[in-house]
Amino acid sequence: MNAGSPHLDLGQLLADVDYASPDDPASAHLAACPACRTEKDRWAAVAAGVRQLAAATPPAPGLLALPALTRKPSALRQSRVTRPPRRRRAAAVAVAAAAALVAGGTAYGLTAAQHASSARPGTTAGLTAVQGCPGTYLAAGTLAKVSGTQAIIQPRITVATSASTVITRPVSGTVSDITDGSHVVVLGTWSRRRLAATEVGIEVGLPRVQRLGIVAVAPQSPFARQAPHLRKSTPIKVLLLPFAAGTVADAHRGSFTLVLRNPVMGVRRIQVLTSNSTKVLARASASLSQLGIGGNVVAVGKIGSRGVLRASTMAETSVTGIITGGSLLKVRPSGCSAAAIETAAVLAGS
Amino acid sequence: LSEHLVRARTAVTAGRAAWPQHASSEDADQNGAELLGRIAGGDQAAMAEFYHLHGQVVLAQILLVVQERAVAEEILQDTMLAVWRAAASFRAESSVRSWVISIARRQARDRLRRHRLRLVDQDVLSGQPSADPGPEVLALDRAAVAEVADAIRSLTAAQREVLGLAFGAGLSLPEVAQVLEIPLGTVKSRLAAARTALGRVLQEEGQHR
Repeated sequence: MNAGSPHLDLGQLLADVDYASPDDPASAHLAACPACRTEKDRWAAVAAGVRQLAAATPPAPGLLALPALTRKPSALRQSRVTRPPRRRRAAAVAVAAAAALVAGGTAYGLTAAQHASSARPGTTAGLTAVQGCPGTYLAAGTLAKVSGTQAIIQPRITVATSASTVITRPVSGTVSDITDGSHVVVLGTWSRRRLAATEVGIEVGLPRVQRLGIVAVAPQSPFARQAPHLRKSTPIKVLLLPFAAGTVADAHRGSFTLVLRNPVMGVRRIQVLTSNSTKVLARASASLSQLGIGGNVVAVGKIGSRGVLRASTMAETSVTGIITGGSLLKVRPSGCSAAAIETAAVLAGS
Repeated sequence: LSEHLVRARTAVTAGRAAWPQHASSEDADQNGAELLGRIAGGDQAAMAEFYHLHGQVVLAQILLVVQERAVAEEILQDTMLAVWRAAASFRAESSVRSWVISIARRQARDRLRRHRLRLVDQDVLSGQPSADPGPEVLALDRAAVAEVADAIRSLTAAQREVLGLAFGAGLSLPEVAQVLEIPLGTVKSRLAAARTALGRVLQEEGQHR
């Protein structure tokens, strides 16, 4: 209690907000004191507001690039004794920041999106509200069933399509489809300062992202099985794969230059190596029935009656989840920014 | 009033459910100290796991203060680079969560200083809450969670910061005091002032509706 006051002090009230225990003397007092209960509930309301704000925080970007971490901490501590010039330290941080990437693909300037709660009328659990686009929601998950013009996305979201719904799916391409000016997303491995591409997605999504770094991929994902040499020892829960997204220049047989532009690193050019084993994904229009059952899909639209999502666009995505449907961004409800949809897609997949 | 109390309790439950998956301070601390030991030995996988445990919560806290996504991301990366460098200096005198948030706070302070912004506005903090439930307190009683969340954005950086540490990052009040490097009593008065300011914002917004 407060000295000189019969009521709980702030510390006791907040402790009860977080860890209410019926055996606690403070809880016993709380049960018998309406004034303290009211006060506690006011703090609970504040706490709920803070938590809602935090829950709306877009996912953290990817970890620092591995090159920035290659020096052992002990070596870094030694170098701190003879403190490097500030400019050099700033450059190290810039490299780290520049190389930071996106577990799942967030971009600069993204706005927050909020998960729709099943408690809110007119919405369905599993849908993600697109911030700044009233009534617009995004659904992401596994395509469980297609019946006529309707699809079921697990977990149990019904998506209705119409003649105006733009539906796309990834299709296999060849390295010759990679041409100058295309925006591509590359997954691969570093080899002598060059990125040997394992997978290249052409105009398939996240066109605003121009980044270099690493990306987290679940070990059980099909992509991870393609790259067992990248598997890290347990108990790490993710694999960290080199990733780059940018615009193609100087495309030749066997290689191209990837040009990255973003506010942190400015302009950077990376040589990307391709081979016959490089998996190339492009995007093609499709009908609903052409989408693969069991595949990952994303749909954006408005909520109709009974919580059905009336999709303006729907896309099958690649196994990594990084290469999402570019058409989502090209055909979007008026007033919705690409960033807002990207953020909702990332949140829905997180 | 009972309706409001039920709503507040529901809101707290909902808020907890919506809090990032890796926000459990206890879980994070249990593994965090061991991870820091491995990080000090140069284990990159441990660094990745540490980031997995703390990154989202730290980002949420930074974003609450700086309110600019790109800046918050950069501060997060600076923070993690600092963790990589300073892992061996962790002495378990504080929880891992409060330790990493302290680092993030220093990084944010440096960044904001460079931008000539003030993290702490003492003038705003000087207001003490009234003992009686004034209109701003009643406005808080009536507000929905989303309205409270919106109103928090209007508070000063220092007020958002202390609320975030106490309710978002899940630190105890003594840990909040440690992170902010202020006495426990000041933490309490800062929290109370933040709540009063929050009620005031809600009251003003209510008048405009």
